[in-house]
Amino acid sequence: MTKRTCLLVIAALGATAYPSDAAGQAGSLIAVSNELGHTVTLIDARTLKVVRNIGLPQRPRGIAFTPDGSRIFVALSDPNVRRQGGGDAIVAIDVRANKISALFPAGSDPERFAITPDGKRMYSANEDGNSVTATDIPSRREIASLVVGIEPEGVGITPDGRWCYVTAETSNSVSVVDVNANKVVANFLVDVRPRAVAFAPDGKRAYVTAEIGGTLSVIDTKSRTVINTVALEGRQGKPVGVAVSPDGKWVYVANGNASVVSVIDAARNAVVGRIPVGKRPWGIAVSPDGRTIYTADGLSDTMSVIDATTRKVTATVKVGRQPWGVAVSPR
Amino acid sequence: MQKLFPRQLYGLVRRLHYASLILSFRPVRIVMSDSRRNLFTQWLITLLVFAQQLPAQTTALRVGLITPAYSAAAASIDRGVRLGALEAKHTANLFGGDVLLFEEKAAGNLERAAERLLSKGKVQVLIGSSVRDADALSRFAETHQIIFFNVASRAPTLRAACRRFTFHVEAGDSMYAIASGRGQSSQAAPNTVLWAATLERYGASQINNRFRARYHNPMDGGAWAGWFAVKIASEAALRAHSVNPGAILFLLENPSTSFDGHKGWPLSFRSWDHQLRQPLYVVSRGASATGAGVRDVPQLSTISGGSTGRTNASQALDVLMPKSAPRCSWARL
Repeated sequence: MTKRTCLLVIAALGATAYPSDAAGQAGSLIAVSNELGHTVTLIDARTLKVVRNIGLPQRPRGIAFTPDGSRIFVALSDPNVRRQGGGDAIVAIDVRANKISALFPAGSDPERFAITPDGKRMYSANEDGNSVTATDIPSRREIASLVVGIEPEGVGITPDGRWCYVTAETSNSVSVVDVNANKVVANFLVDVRPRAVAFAPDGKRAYVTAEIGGTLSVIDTKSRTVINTVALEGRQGKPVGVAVSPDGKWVYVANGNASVVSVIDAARNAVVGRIPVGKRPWGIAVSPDGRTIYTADGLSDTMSVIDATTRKVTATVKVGRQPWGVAVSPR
Repeated sequence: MQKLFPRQLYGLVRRLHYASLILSFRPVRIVMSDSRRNLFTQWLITLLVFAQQLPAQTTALRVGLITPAYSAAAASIDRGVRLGALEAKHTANLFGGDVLLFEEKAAGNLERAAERLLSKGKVQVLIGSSVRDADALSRFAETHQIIFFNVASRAPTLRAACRRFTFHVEAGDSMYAIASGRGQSSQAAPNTVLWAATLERYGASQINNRFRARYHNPMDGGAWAGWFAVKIASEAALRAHSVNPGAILFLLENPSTSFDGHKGWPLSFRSWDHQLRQPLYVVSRGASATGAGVRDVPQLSTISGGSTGRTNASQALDVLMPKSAPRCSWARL
């Protein structure tokens, strides 16, 4: 991390708090990272009002709540995409205080990351480093850097916290990390240019989007093999974000080029619905009760709110410039 | 490859193989003291560790690069090939395989250089960075049934030669002419390129950054073609679970095979002339360093999901296909 980043983040640590009535209930708060706006937009899930925009010193992309819902982690990279390693870090925003409360080392150019269910460890993909960094959250120390494929991006941890999957866009690979041993124990190929990964609640299936392949790879986590490849939007939708409903019945995929969310029946691995949303949706998240789906629409500067039952957009919320990721508070 | 040779299984097989060589497949009853046994065990472990570190010969893709004495354009292609080989090696290593690059200077005798790559390097894939060498190397590859990637020549005659083992990553003259809006028979505008160092979307900025960081030069069309040729070869070998040129050829000819060249499209080879389907870029005179003023032809925005499919993506890219494109009748292998 550069001196410049440190100074900017220290300045941001002093940001004033706001009354956070929205926080405290499952799914009550939505957070959107705005890549071009260098902000995180916090939205009250009940009223769909923007609660606050939090300024960030760098380009935010990956975003997630901690399992206890107390903090929002945001991956930051240098705003100049041609410059490498300029201001890379993961910051934690305290939900109650609504300000940046901690800074974590996360290797170079962190894009996506995942936190173990116990909230103690984080794995972040280092896009320009061909590695994934394991960080101990309580001590804020980097504890391992593991070699994975080229241009790693998607990171997901199985619901039991045992395995971490890391996709690599150039290598078309998924690396499996043993969380206990902090070691890559397997690699397998998926379709062309894999982006994000999500797991079924029982951990038996993993779902990986392939942006250029235009598909969703369905993976049996026991054998670590691709058991199905689901074509989305005629393979031209450029799928990126993926989320699974809490009951495991539905898989939702954000197709960036088609501006459509695909609904996949997890039992049949078949597309059963398509929901038009804002332009270039990448980030996607499902509320803890499974009733609502949210997408970060990068070229509309909006967040689409979808009723999961009717599969219709019920609201559109204006957020910051070029929204990238979206996360919902788990409690 | 992963399925057939998981890293642990592969390591175990090699250990057993070397152990069996040591013992010459004969059951040997060895009687020795504890200290001797320890010494023997240490020696065996050392040998096995050494064996483990040997290159995985059976799964190594071997790529040969023939470079001319000097040419700026060829030097750029060479850099692309070398970066491609480094990256392909990284990916192959994840699966217990390897990618090895062998280089030879043509130095006045192209045939001999290619022969050396074949006899010493045992290459399965050949790349030549000089436009002048393309036809001869294509012929050589056909004779010896190894894959030749044409990354330098735009010549229609090379395409019309219809050699089964030749695949064209460089676009043909007519493709450049069509992309620059000058029709099929006229010359292309000089500002129509295979790749631009200012491209950013779909991973373009990442590969541009990697190239610039290593060579302190912008990635041009030749460098991109060299890099992509190796990427194609190594991905095909991984997906085919084989480094055999025939297996790679069949995978490249398969209409359902596509590759990511960081251009935003699924790129594939036309089965009837082995020309890579891909967009080209028209760079405006006032194009900025941020990529503004670079127009892709065809434009990616013309296909946006819905009813279009992989076939339609291929059809969309075939707007650059000249009417004169050969329909080759391939010799049976």
